[in-house]
Amino acid sequence: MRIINDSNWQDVLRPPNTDDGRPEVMPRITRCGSPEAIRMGLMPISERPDLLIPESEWKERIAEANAERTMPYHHWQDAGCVKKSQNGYGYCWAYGLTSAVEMGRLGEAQPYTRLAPNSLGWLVNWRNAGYYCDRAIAGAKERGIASLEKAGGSDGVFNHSKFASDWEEDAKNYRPSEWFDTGGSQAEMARQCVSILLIGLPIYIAYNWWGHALMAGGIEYDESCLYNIRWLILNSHGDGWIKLEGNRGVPDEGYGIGSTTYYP
Amino acid sequence: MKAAFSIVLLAILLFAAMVSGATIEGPEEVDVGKPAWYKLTVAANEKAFFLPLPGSPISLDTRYIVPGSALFWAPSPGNYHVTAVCVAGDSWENAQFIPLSKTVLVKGVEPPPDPPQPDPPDPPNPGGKYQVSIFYETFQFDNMPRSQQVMLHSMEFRKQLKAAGHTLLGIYDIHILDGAGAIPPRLAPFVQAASGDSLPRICLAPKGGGTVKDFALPADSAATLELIRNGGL
Repeated sequence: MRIINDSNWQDVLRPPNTDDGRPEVMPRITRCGSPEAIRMGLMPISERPDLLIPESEWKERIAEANAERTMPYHHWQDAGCVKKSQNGYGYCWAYGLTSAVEMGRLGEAQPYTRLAPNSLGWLVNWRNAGYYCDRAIAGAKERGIASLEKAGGSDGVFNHSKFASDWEEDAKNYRPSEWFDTGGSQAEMARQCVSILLIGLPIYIAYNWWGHALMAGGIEYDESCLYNIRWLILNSHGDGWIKLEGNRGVPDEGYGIGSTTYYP
Repeated sequence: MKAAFSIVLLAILLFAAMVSGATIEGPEEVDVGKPAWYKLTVAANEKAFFLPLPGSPISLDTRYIVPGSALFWAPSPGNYHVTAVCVAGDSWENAQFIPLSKTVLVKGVEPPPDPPQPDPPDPPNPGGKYQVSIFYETFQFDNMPRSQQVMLHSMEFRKQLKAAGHTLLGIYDIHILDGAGAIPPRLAPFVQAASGDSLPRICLAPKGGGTVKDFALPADSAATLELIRNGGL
């Protein structure tokens, strides 16, 4: 598995694949814990202090989570999920969110359904354009994400005229309903994201240095890494799972899925 | 045949009563469920006794007959007959036995039948195979002990459940909805069972269908598997 750290991070940078050349994901509109964010259903995890796992417990808890296979990375492996590829479009904001919803369903023991990130294209008027993670979440909560079967049949099809006629009805079956929000300093972000992953929830994340949105699905404990954490990230640039370490590993934005709609 | 017998018998009673002058006094109509007193009036050389009449609707409960009077009570509407026999004559050797009868109309609405009793719950079935669902409140995750938090997303726990022959329907927030914004019909009995109780809860129903039983979620996966193995005992 590819490891990205503070010495090789530039290797993954590439120009945005958006038509207007702007970043594929832009910094969030709302602030964590603000009334606007809460109205979008983003509940700050910092308000659930018992959920925040102290760093002193991380080593033991991460070992336990990997032994019991509780994290989204484990669910992804067991369900036989398929890695996604943006196919040269600037929809990482939709791919990261879609992967998180898929993993949220697996966490609830719902079956794996491959969803179509491009069914969120209505948020950018079906253009090949970047977007905001928090607003994408609000859009997915409202209308859902269609299954790949109903929305083009393969990654990269974002022309909705090629979708099945009932794709919008189908999308309502795949809606994230509750979210944990993260915010604060890098150390606080690390602590909050580790805590979310340790309770088994996937995190829709974004990195400002990369201009990229992805899904965090696992962690390893390694005392040679910053905060002793190595992050397991699902990348939609075609290479599937990668590992991030150091300053490059801690997300700038992170949203943990609490629950999704029922559609077995 | 029975009805014809009753009609003939009533005619005889009426005729006999007219001959003796003995009467049963009391209301001709009463409300259903309400008691009424009936009294025997006889001549000086007569005696009379209340007496149930065979072949007609129940008229009197002999437990409520006192000398000269009787308490009448009917549980449902209809025509009833209060019956008695009059003994006329100066001596027992010359006594005449004269049947008496009074028709009483009991008015009112028949009370509804008792509601059907719910089926008794399925007895615990140790070793049975179950449909299993677990419900929690997302924003109360922090109130759950660590071992329960681990269990909710543990693939090992799910594998053990499956290996034991059970079906995991899911591990859901108690407010789970479907795409239409409604409680999913398939989950509804489970959600109903778990609602109103302290969360998290585990619900069990036999794989072939049956009553849903819910329990507080045990502390860890081993205790949960044991609970399921014992059918909730």
